[in-house]
Amino acid sequence: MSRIKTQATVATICFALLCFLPLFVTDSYIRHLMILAFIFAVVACSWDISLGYAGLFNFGHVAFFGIGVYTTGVLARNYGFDPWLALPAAGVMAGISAIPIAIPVLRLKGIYVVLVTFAFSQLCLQLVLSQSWLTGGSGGLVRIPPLTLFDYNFARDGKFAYYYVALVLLVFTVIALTRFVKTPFGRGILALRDNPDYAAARGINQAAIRVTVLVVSAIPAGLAGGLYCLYFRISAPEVFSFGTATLVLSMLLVGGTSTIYGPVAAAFCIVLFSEYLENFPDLNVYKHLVIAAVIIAILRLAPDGLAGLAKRLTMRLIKDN
Amino acid sequence: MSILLEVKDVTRTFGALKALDGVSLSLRKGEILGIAGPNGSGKSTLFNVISGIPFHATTGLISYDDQEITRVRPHEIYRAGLARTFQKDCEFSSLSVRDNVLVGAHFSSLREEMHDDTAIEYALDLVGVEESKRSQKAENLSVFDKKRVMIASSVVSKPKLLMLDEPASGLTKPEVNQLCELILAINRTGVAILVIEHIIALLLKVAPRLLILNEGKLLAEGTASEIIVNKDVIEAYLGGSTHP
Amino acid sequence: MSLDAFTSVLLSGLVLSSLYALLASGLSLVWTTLGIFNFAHGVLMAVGAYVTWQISQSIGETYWIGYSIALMIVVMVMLGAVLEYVLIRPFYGNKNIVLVTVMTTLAGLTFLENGIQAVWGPRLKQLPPLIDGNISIHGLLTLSAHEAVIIVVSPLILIGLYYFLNYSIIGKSIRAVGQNQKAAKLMGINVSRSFILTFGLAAALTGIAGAFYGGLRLMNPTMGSEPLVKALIVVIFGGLGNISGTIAAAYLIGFLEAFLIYFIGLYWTPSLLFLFMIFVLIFRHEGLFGESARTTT
Repeated sequence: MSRIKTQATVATICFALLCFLPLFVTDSYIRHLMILAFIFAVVACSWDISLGYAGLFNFGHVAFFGIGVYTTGVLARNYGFDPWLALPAAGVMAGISAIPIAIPVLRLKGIYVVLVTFAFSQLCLQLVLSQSWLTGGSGGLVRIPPLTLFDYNFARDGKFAYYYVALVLLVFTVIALTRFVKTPFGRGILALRDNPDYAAARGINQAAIRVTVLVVSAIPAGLAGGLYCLYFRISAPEVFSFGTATLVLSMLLVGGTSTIYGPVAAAFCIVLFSEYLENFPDLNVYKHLVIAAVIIAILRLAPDGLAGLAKRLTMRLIKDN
Repeated sequence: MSILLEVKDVTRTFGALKALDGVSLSLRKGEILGIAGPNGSGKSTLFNVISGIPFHATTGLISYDDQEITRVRPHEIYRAGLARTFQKDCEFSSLSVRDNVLVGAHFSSLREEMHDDTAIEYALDLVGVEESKRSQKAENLSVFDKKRVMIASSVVSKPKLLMLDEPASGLTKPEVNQLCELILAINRTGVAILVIEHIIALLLKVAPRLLILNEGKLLAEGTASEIIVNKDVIEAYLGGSTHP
Repeated sequence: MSLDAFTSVLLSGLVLSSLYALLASGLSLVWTTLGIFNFAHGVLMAVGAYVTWQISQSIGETYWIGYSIALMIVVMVMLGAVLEYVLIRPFYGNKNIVLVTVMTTLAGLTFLENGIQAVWGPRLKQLPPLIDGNISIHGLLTLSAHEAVIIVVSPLILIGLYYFLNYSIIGKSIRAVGQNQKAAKLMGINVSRSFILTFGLAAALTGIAGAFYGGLRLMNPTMGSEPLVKALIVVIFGGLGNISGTIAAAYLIGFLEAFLIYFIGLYWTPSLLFLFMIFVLIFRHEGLFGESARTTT
């Protein structure tokens, strides 16, 4: 019980700090990093639902993010949609596209799920590259309209407004997903992962759970993609790349799966750490070497990620008191 | 009394092997029926084809509560009120004891009637899992407690038929006695029970009627006292020894 | 379609197929034996090409490139062993090994790709061809001698691999470990040595493909990423854990790709290949040439 209370207290304190941070930190570069961390945290913690909680080796999650990026980009840039409409459309589109990917996943397990979901994300990338009349091809879409409200551009005043939009998206996602996994249906997701045969013998419909899981995890990723697109004002095919997938997957595994807050914390650490390394121009090409080595070291030394470390630490504190 | 479960001429083959070969049986509402047989006699296969986990019958007909369920998907079979347990101690390891039972309730036909946790606490009271253990993770329980939680997660859905797959395996003697009491107590609430056991001793205590399977076929059927003097049974099942 | 265009499609199909076959057979070998999927496999192609270039620079360009390739193979075997030791070995027995090794091999990919950038810089390089000149057959068909070598030598290497796996003691022990690790251990086979050997062998095969490729096009650190994806498709088509199926699928995909590019164009071809791959996975996940599915979850 006390562990849950500690968690809630820590979460509330973090939230309060993040709310007031822009009042003290006026540097737009730091705010930019925070926005980036918020967006990737949403992608990482929503991936945790399918990969961690449901135990599905879904490797195409970043494709949902990419679909969000392009849905918003195409609607706002090519078809003149209001960005405020194009943003939720990204979530809807990602949710819908999770259904066709669920079909092969229902029939397969283990490494085959990795391969088929990986093929799905590559298929998305290839379609984006080949349909340049719509997507701009390898150059992507540029000069996408930003979020505005009564002629107030959200990028003004040191990205002040974008900061809060991204924060709201993150907080909303974390709360929604945490609640979702605590519902009886959410318990069923874990039950199915732990023991599929026993789960079937207790009335759990594997197909229904897997489809729901993929759709639920795709929606926040799509929304994050939409916001990413409106914030950077571009849609580029790199969002489907190995690099993006590796980045987000490392947040997930470094943070610890099946925790939601772990990947969120790791997203902050990784975004800030990799930006911190930018301060050493001599390090330039070695930056990725360092990050890769750190990831391997963490997987090796702390297999349950940062969340596992935090758990062990609080356990010890509770024991000591 | 009316028939609850009817198995007609059911066969299950694996390549050339006939694990079940034309087995028929019927079970009345509220009855306890025991099924015994040596290893490899097809007991577990019979349970598997009835529950649809992990496979269905090759040929034959299975009906439950006047509806055919031969090819019905396993989760629907459970929702119709037919719950099974497994021989090895099974649990949803990352869930608490209460949540293990909650899953059994939530995905049954009773979901709409569940407003609070009383049904869950009641089921855990019935099987005798102590209050202090109910918030723990199920994976930390003893073998007997795991088995009791598995039974609780099925009785919470108020099934009409409970199928117990070698419930006594891995239990100590006093635990087996407690288990017998539990089986009888569940039966008194009106639940029919089909129980497989390798050890006939347990079946003799709880099941008025017994079936003996051997090499995928029905070898004998009768009351406990008839079965233990049946020559075929002694020959095939006990291998001629006098061990009960 | 003119005869000329037909033969050029056929030829490019053959060259592609040969490279895919080298790459995919290593990928498949690692999957069969270790039960993991190596995402760092593609970048080994770039490493092989760069190492060959480095060796040829040090021993002097007057020597035939084949000597450098031979030395590169030794380096690649050692690199493969190191990768297995660092990326895979610590995680045996981990219940999430499939996922964790996806992550560690991806990290390995990032490391090697940026490592190449750090060591050799961004300047584009090219290897000399194995044999100079062109070959022309009756004026119908013209190809560079280098391409001809690739077309001829790759199948020979693969035949050698096939015989090595099926008839040599070490090869048989590698296959035994792939089929049943526990039983192999009980039979006295050194399982961890087999793992290292497998990784080394796979790295060497990929390195050769890289050296061939480096004589064909300009080298860059990410030159292996597209071939890796193609090798992945090949392995799926051939069936995971099936070397002869993989080799057959490599040639099938190579030709299919060449013809698709010819008929429907460069843009739609990759999408179609991935669509095929998804369908194969859904309806026949043991692959087109696989006999039975490997029961790994």
